[in-house]
Amino acid sequence: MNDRIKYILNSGDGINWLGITIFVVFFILFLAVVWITLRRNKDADDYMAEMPINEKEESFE
Amino acid sequence: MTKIEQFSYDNGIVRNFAIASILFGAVGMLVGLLLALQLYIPELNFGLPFTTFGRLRPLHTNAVIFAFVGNGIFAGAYYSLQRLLKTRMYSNVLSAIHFWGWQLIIVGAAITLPLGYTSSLEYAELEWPIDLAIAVVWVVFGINMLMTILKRRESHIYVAIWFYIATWVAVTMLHVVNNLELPFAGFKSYPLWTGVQAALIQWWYGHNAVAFFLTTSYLGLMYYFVPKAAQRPVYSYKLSIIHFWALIFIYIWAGPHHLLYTSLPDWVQSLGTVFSVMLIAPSWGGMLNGLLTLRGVWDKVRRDPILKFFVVAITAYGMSTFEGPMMSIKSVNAISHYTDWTIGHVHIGALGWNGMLTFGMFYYIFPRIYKTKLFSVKLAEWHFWLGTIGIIMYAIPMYWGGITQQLMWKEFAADGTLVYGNFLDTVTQLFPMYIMRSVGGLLYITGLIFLIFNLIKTAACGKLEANEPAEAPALEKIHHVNKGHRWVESRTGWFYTITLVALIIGGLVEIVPMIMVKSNIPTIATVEPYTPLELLGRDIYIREGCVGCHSQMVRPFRSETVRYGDYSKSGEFIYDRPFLFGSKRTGPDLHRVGKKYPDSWHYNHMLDPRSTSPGSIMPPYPWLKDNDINYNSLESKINTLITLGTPYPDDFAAKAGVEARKQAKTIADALVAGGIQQDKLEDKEIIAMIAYLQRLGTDIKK
Repeated sequence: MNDRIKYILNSGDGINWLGITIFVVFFILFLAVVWITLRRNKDADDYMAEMPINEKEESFE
Repeated sequence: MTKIEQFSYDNGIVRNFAIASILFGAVGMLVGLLLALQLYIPELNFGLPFTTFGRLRPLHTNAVIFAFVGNGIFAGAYYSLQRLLKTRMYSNVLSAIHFWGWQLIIVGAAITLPLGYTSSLEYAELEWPIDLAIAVVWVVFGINMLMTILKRRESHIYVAIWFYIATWVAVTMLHVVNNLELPFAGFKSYPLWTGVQAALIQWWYGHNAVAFFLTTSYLGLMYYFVPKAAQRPVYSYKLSIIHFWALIFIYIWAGPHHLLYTSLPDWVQSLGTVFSVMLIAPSWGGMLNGLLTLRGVWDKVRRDPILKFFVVAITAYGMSTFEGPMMSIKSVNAISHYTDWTIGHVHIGALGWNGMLTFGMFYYIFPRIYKTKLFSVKLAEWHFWLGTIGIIMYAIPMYWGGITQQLMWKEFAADGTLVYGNFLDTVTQLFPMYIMRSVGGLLYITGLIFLIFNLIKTAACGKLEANEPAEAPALEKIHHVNKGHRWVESRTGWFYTITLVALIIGGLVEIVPMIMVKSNIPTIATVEPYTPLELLGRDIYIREGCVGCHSQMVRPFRSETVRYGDYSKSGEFIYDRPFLFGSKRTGPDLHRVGKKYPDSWHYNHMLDPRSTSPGSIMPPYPWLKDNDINYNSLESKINTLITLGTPYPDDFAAKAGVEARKQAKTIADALVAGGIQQDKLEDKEIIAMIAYLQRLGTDIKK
């Protein structure tokens, strides 16, 4: 197992670590936003989603 | 019991921005049509400096982006902000300063760009006094918006306003960083950034000008006007949250995809590609959220031209945000870059996404602020179909032409030579596509004329309610919710701060190492600063907008090194202020043009391109042989460059004029010896231009 990990690390030359780090950071943040979003209260969501159409306006059609 | 407060919405400012958007949009699009015609009828350059393709192209892009779309954003934002926040705009005075200031900037652009005052940075061509004016007016808009948000009568801020906030924060950051420049004359400056670093910062700006001026602001408008017009709530408010944060975080990284296969370090190119591909997810999240808001009312779409405009706009957004990431994959970019494919791509965005959403929005707003019915639904329907067919007729020939041209550039014969070694063969091949494109543009503009007529008649039938009465319950205290995303939706300061953090990360990671780590740009010992005469020639090259048609970046492809010469290295551009990589090859790349042709060839070519290149569509530049070189500007130019870090000797500025005249005399004498007859030839701008062109790409051959 150790040899296997050592092999993977040795053959990791040329990997764009900066890119991978940013990628990982993004996905952590992304999953956090998704988690926070999914826990939202449905009533609050409905209120916000309807905000533009809740306003009284004359119709000119 | 909650007190009901009476107030009024400022419809006057909405009307003003809408009219400005339509009028400047018409001008910008007509200039675009002229440019499209110039590409196959070069006589339409009219032999005047002010009407050549190179000078008018930035006028077209600036007019459409900042005048048509910009005023459209402000019209829509002022209309929706007030209603979503249930309050009037914070200050009538700030609104008026914003409106008149923005129009003055546009007029300033319309005057200075044809006169050749340009920084040559795409979508940031305006020179330093106008840059400063933009900063001031943008801050005025920002204060007005922020204060309006702070005095709202709604506890939580709706998603459309998040997008307006992101637009304001991002554009402020981009505009300031990309336009750091040192003036050397009333309307001229040299940029702080140079060469490859400048290219990265410019495309960090350029791409995000598209992202945060043309996209996030319009997503805000979409999240307000689509539900309004459909009378349906947003499909998924949860999705809009994920859409917003993912989009603004990812978008800012994508700029380097404009520089694939250039001498930009590979690690930045990779970041640009990866994040561009990732962009599909949030972009399509937004598109689906927009389209699915219409669930259950598709029958209304059949009857309502406003919804039709919105559907095409959102679909165009989806198309261009799929196409953009695809074009950011290196193997696709190798085909698409420098060709009309890119032009087709941006016009799907501009004509489809921005244009159609703007039109739908104005058809929605005008009857409501004039308190009357739309004059003619039928005419709006005609506008819709003319616009839609116009977009298709514009885009398809551009895709076809782009792929055709790149494949011709890359085609080798069995003996290893280029099949189309003469660049012109790959240009004339595109004429049928150029003709179809201009027909598409004409249809689109015809539709716009229908809109103008329809809205004038609508306004005539009604009366503007400049101050529309409204009422809403007083918000005595903002109800902060201390859980999840609701927490930030009610905290204005935190919302701005977190948005800034999300926006700033990408730029920092990409730009700071490029500036701090010297190994990113290996220096080349033989690369030296431009001579004074070459510098003057370079500034003429910039003035004439040559960068609009000629790149200076040979990519490391065999098809390019065979055609142009050795591929471009980052160390070759370290004295380039501004960098002139270009993004389109209507004509050939010029980075290795130095010493390729004799001086007399350049002289004849500039005065009459068709004398040396039969069939060329390049306009002639006869004024270069008549205009005197402005040697007086040299001292301040050299001093400015020394301040910025160009290693000229300390006393060089004082003697630069003498050096320049000496070099000009040598070139002029050689031309006269070659049979070219002209009085005082050594004093003419054509000599400086020749000096610059002959220097291009030659340093590494020393």
